Amino acid sequence: MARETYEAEMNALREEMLKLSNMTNRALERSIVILRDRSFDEGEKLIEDDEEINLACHHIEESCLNIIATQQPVAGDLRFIFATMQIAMELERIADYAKGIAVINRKIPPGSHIKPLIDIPRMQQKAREMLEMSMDSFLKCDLDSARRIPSMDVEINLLYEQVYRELVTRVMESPERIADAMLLTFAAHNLERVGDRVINICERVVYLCTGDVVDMG
Amino acid sequence: MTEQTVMKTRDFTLYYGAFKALNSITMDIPVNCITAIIGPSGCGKSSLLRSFNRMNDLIVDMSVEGRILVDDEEIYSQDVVELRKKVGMVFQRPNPFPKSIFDNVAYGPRIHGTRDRSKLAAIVESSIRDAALWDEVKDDLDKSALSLSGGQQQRLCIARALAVEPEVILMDEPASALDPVATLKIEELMEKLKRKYTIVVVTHNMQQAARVSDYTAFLLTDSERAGNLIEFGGTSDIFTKPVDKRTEDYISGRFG
Repeated sequence: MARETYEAEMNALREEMLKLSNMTNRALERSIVILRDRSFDEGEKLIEDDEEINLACHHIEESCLNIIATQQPVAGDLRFIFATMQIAMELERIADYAKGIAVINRKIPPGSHIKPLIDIPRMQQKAREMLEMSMDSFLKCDLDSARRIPSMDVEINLLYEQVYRELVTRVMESPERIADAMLLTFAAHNLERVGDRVINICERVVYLCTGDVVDMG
Repeated sequence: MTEQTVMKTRDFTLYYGAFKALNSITMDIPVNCITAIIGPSGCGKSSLLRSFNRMNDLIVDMSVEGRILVDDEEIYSQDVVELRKKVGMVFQRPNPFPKSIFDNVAYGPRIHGTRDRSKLAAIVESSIRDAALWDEVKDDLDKSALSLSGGQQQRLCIARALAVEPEVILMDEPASALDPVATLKIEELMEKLKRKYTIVVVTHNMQQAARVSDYTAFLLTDSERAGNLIEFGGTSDIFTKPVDKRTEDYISGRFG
């Protein structure tokens, strides 16, 4: 017995998740360009565009509830719906971190940063790579990959510590720029949190594949 | 399984003539629980249910291999009337006798030798109460059972099964002929009854199995059309993380 409407709704949900994940990934990428290039206009646009991501997330939640109410999914399908709702929320939060970086940029007075941005873009790169891989593991239900990805977060954490140490040193040299240094630390912290959120996504993928709730953080 | 079991099958195989309807079924029915048997049409779930109180005995050419034990006693070596006293049955369509409500429920105890009118009255009242029907019929016990609604008739049939104090109640699609409200009443009743009895229910309605049962058995036919037990487990496990791909496909409505 083919359940065509049901299958179509489940596939549409996968598509929506892929779209949301691309939007989030793009927001992260833009946030660091904005911070690096001190682009205030682009920053405002990113902050504005975040609303689109929020709406996409809400739409996914609605679709999930609709499928639960009308199609009574069970077993693997039910786990997929549950994982989708949780992961959509993680993506929405990750996009908020990107938006947060644009807000931080707005607060740092125009001009060059207290230090050249090298490790923060690296953190962003790594975080986006993790995000992309985790969403790939979700859509392919790839358990092995979901179990491997969290170890990549170590690198983000090390980079974060490095950024922090370096900024502390710079502040000692130019104490008048302490506020700027703090704001950059916040930006790095946002990226560090992205890594943690991606680990949450991986936990949901493990749940999707096995039905087991795990803590990988 | 940690629960005590009241009924067991061991390599139970059932033939109708040369046709093998059930293939080597081994499962334990835990006491004071609701066990649902699910599976597509023709998978042998009703045959299995009927085997538990030897309802298949009347079918010509029926033969069995393996064992079914109730309270560790082989069912085929005990008196069938005694067996059916221990293992009662409720059918898909309510089938009250064309007698009064009272006589329907008193029927079993009378057969088993209870003649005392006040004793019978007490059994009838407690059985109808247990079947959650008392308030609706207490003033009409002499009225014909056929004057009741479908849902009431089904609860009367449950009361009739309860009157001989069974240990196990078998239910074959007990709510499929009822509307949603009457169905809900039967499901609530099952939940209540399991405190005193063990219930085994066959149902096509997967949501019903998920709602009411503690354990679920999934049966499916093999290439020779014989019913096999594919998976048995806690209902929440079966409906959230079934082990067998065939169980997953069936409960998600991908076949059957």
